[in-house]
Amino acid sequence: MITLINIELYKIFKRSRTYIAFAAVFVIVVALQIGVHFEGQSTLDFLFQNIKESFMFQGDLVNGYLITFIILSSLWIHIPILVSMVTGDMISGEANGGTFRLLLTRPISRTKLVIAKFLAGWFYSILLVAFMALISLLPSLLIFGKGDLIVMKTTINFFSADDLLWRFIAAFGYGMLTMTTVASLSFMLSSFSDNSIGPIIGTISIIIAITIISSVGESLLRPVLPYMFTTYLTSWLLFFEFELNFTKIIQAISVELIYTLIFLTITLIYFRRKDILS
Amino acid sequence: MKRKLKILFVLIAFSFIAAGIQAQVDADKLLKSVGTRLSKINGYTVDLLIKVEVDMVKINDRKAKLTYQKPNKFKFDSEGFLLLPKTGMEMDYMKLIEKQANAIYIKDEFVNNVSTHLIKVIPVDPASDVVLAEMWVDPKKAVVMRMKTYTKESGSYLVNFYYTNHPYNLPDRMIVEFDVKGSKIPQKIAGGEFNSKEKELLFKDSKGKVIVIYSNYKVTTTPK
Repeated sequence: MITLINIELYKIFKRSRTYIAFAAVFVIVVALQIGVHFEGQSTLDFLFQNIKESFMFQGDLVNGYLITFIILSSLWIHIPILVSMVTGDMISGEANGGTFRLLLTRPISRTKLVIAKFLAGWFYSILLVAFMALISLLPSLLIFGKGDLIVMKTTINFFSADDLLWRFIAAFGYGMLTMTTVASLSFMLSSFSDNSIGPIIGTISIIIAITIISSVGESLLRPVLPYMFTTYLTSWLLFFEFELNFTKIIQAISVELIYTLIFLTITLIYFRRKDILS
Repeated sequence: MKRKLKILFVLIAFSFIAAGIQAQVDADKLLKSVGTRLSKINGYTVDLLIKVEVDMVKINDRKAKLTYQKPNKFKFDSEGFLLLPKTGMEMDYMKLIEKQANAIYIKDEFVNNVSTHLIKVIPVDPASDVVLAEMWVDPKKAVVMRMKTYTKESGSYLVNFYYTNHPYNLPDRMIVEFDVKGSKIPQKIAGGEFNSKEKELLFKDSKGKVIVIYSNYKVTTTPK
């Protein structure tokens, strides 16, 4: 099994498109860091001009943690695209390249092959989020320093600098879980298709479409929203609440895990019965 | 008999007028006595523990250091971020006493079980942001126990001072209550709630409260 995973990882990291994702994350993160460094304070001043009539602000809110938080907020739509670019190609790429028939002549079960491919794709997704965490947190903290963080949700939350690192680690950890769900969705679509474009566009379309429908028709869809995996894509924000809502966190983790299992099971069932023609 | 009554009436009326004049003098003297007590202090540093109780704002208690330098320089230092009310944090009565102001005695009242004189203070300077201040002054210790200030720009705010036995009668606790009604902030500052319909956070409760606990005063005084 480990040999199979290694082979799949070799295939992933042999392709140049894998590194496009890392390069894209790097460019976006650096651009955001520069942007917040130059415009962060004036933006905060503008946003708080009303509240500053009642309060004095003492201290610097533009710091490494704020920059990392903004990066996290901005990338939740980009990372699924970058994840599905690789995981959406895991099965369909073989079909498209005509290598499946050759591959399946080897003495390995289809189940093992699917699991190995999924684990390799999952490793890539985790690595991408870890890379994002690393280049967001470390340089931001080194260059802009530590500081308190302001988070606007239903209340205005001010977090002390010494109360933040674990929240970011938890948020990035949760991000890894949601990207696992996204990876399993694109992986499932990849098993249905014989070309790579379909699963990649399909994954993004599903996420965007459900998100838009959920927002526009919120009152109509309210009963099913708690059961949609897209509802919880931004639930890393739960780690930036003053009093942690463990029920919501557990619910979000459970839904993401259940969807991952469902997508993976469907992939296994479908792929085992699939007639390989290419 | 009629004459005697007239004399009695004149005496009573005179005593009231005299008492009124006396009260007016008392208010000015009282304010001066607070000023005299404070004038002995050149400056001080003190550790602060600040608790903010404002609707919609969640912030842990913060530690800070306050440095005061005569006549009215206040500097707050903190390792973290401080959210402080714009009014009431800088012992504003010092500025009022220091500048010219008219004081009128109103009545006696108990504040935190201490008998105080309530005086109204009207700044003479027309440019002053403070329009009127009500001060409850403990005449024995010459300390301000409570102060309600009405301003042109920042609404009104109430400050309660609590004292123990500091040699210079500096407060060891202060509670500032102020208006925040109508303050609002766009929600999308750094990532709002997903699917949230709220475009702005509005402070629904009109009052905010900040509790400041002072400790470890280091006072520098004027040499005698």
